Formats: sequence, structure tokens, C-alpha cells
Amino acid sequence: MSGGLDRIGAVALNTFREAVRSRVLYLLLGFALLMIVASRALSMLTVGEESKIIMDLGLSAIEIFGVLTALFVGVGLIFHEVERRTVQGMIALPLRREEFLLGKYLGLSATLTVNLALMSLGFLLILALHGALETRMLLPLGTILLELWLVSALAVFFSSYSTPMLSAIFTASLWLVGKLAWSFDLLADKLGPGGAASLCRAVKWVVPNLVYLDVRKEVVHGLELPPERLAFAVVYVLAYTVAVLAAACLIFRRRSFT
Amino acid sequence: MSRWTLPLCLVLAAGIALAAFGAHRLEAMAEPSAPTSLLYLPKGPFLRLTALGQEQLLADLLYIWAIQYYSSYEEEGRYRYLESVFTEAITELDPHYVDAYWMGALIMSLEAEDPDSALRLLDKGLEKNPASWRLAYVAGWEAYMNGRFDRASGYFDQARAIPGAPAQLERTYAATLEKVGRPLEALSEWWRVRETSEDAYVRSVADRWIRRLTVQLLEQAVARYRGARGQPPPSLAALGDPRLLPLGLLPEEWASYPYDPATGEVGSPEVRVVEQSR
Repeated sequence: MSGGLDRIGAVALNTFREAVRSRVLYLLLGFALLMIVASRALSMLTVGEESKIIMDLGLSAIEIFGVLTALFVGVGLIFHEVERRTVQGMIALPLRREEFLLGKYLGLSATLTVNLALMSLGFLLILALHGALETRMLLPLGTILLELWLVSALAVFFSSYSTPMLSAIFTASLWLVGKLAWSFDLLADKLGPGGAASLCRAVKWVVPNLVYLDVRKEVVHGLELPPERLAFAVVYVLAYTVAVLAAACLIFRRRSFT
Repeated sequence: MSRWTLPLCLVLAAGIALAAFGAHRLEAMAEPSAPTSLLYLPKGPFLRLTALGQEQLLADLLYIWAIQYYSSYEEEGRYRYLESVFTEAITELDPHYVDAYWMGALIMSLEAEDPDSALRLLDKGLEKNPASWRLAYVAGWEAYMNGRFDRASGYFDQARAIPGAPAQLERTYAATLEKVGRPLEALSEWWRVRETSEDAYVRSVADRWIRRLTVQLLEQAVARYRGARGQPPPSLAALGDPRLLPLGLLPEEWASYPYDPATGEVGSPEVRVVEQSR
């Protein structure tokens, strides 16, 4: 068991080392930090609460650039190993395919976590300079991290059997659908009673509902956030991530590299 | 030059002239230029869809844009879609954006002179943010400034009951009650302000209002007395009947207020103080 964990850890460490050498990562990180700093300037144009603009823009920048990082770095992880044929060397080692895939996923998640920590640092610094730093602000940052872990699981899932381009399109689309999952009810209402409306409601249960993780409104406006809502959201997203990774492992096991 | 050249040139010239004439007439008939770009602003849940999960950010950007846009006085017809921008777009994207409610209401009321839209926006804000005393307060002033005192007193009553509301709202509410023609409730509120405030200035303001309302109530009692007996009472003490006056609410010295039994006129004790000081 510990041997398995060691092997997963070794792949994860290598994946992390490989990811942090990516120029795209630093480019996106730079842009994200620029956006966070720019939020301070933008907030001066408003009338009323300036800190709201800083929080909204900062959190959106962290989320969007985090997802872009997961996409750009994540979708190529498996594909490049296959394309360079290094995967054949890997699976010749006493390393199970699932261990390889999970290691890749954990390496990517670690990269995203470090990336998010750096962006959060910049964001919290700007908030502190503005005198609007609150401990509650860690909540949306935490939910964004969970969201990024889920998105990277989706990226690994798609890249386990598809090309980087298609994987990026599939992952981005699913992320977007997840962010707009509330609209399936709207569409079902517009369609009226019938099979199509039922299908809409069914799809809502299948896609990753990222609306559950959105606690920004409550934190920014100082509204009540029931702890059980947060707890169930964490359970939901972690369970979904595990399910996606399990599906990715199943597919990757059957994949032929010849 | 073929034989068709001249007729074709004539047709071309006639076409251009006719088109120019038509365009000129249409331009003259056109209503003042409106911000046509706003025609394409989606509403409600469809606008939320276009936000792609970043509703709050889009609300912020639209709000900042609106501040700049409605500050530009060169733009003609800019108030046409004001309600769409604030009521159906910004506050739909972020229903808890309190700044957008009061700022939108101020623009609607002061700039566009449309208090009904302003109150609709503030009502929506209060429905979505029942804990915001600011919105109830702004709505109260909005109604007050437009002479809707009854509605204003309702908003002020709502505002003062919200935790965190400043004590000043109690006075605003009490003053509005007098404006609505509810002197008894106003008097009761002013007594409460007087008893609960620790500020000497606030207590002196409350005293002034209590005297003023007492004079009003005494005048009404004198009128009722005169109606029943055909003449004004010989002294204010003759009004000491709970059916004529709310005795429990009046200051102890109410019977010694300046009074002219010949005319039935009641004066304010403040006037007597001024006269004595001369």
C-alpha cells in the first residue's frame, strides 16, 4: 500500500516539477496578479463601497486564471507522455496505470494549489492595503481551490483518452455548464411539462454543479452562510472529483499505447 | 457613349436624390437619439446567463459603466433605459448590491425626475435586502420629497426598526407622523425620543416638538369644545376631559399654555418665553 502511495507521490512530484517549468503558468499567474492589482484602480471609479469591486474582480480573476491554468497545464499532461512515448517506459516500470494517472492528477492539483496560494496572497494584500481584509474571505478562496481540483480532474479525465485541444474544449465547456447549472431549471420551465424538461432536470444532476461552491455573494455582502451548506458543497465536490478520477482510471486502464 | 448612358445616369441621380430626401425626412422624424446600445441589454435570468457564472463581476462593471454614463450630460435621451439598467440588469445580477439601489434611485429621481421608478427600484431593494436600513431611509426621503408623506412614514418606520439604524431615524419618523396628520402617534414617539436620548440637544428638539404637538392637540380640543357648546372654553383647564384630550401624553403644564378665551386661540409657551425676554 505504502509502495503504491510512494509511486503516486513520485509521479506527482515529477508532474509538479514539470508544471512549474511551464511558461504558460507564469504568464497566467502574472495576468491574474495584474488583474487583482487593477481591481484597486477600477474600484476608484465606483460610488459607494470600493472594497466590493476589489473582492469581486479579485475573486473572479483568481477563479478564471486558475481554471485557465488547469486547462493549459492539465490537458497536455497525459497526451505529452503518450506523444513522446515516455508513457510506455512508465508503464513498463512496476507502476500501475491508475497510480500514474493519480500521480499526474495530484501533481497538477499541487501546482494549482501553489498557484492559487500566490494569487490569494496578492489579493489579500490588496484587501489589507484597502483596509477590507476579513478572515471570511478565505471561504471563497477555499471553494475556488475545490473547484480547481474538480476542473483538473475533468482535464485529466478527458486527456486520458483525447487530444489536448479536444480535452481543453470539453473541460472548459463542462466548467461553463457547471457554472450555469441553475439555468437548466429555467430552460425546463420554458419548455413546459414533457420529456425535454425532464431531460433538462436530469442533466442538471449529472453535470458538475459548481453553483453549489459559489459563496462569493454571501461573503462579499456579509450575508449568512449556513455551515451545513458549505459542508455539503465540500462533500459534493470531493465525491464528484473522486468519481471523475475513478472513471479516468477505468478508461486509462483499457487504453492501448501501441 | 451608348444611348443608355444618359438615362442610366438620370436614374442614378434620381435614385440618390430620392434616397437623400427620404433619409433627410426620416432623420427629422426620428426621436432624440437614444442609447441604442442599451436596446440589446438582456434582462433577468437571460442576463445572468451571459455573465457565464460571474454575475457579481458583471454587475460591478455595469454599475461602474452606469456611473460614468449617467454623469455625462452631453448624451441625449440617456434616461430612456434607466430602469432597464438598474432595475432589470445590475440589481438582477447582484440583488444584494445596496449601492446600486440607492444610487440608481437618486439618478432616477433627481436627474430623470422619475420618482415612481426610483421607488420601484428601492422597493425591490428592500424586498431583496430587508436588513438594509439605508434603503428604507432613502426610500423614505424619496417619498417625503415627493409629498407622499404617508408612504414616507411607512419607510421610516421600517428603517428605524432595522438593527443598526441610527437613532436619528426615530426623530425622522416622529416628524413625518406629524406631517401625515397623526399628531397623537407623533407625540408618543417624541416622548419616547425624549426619554431614551442621552443627548441634551436631542432632548431639547423633542421638547420643542412636544410643545408644538401639544398646541395642535389643544387647538383641536378647543374646536371640539366650541362645536359642542357654541363657545370656546373659559380656560384650557376646562378641556381636562379624556374624551377631548389625551391627557396622559400632554406635558404637565399644558393647562398653563397661553390661551385667549375670547378667540379660543392657543399659543405656544415658547412665544411667551420670547415675549418675557423682551
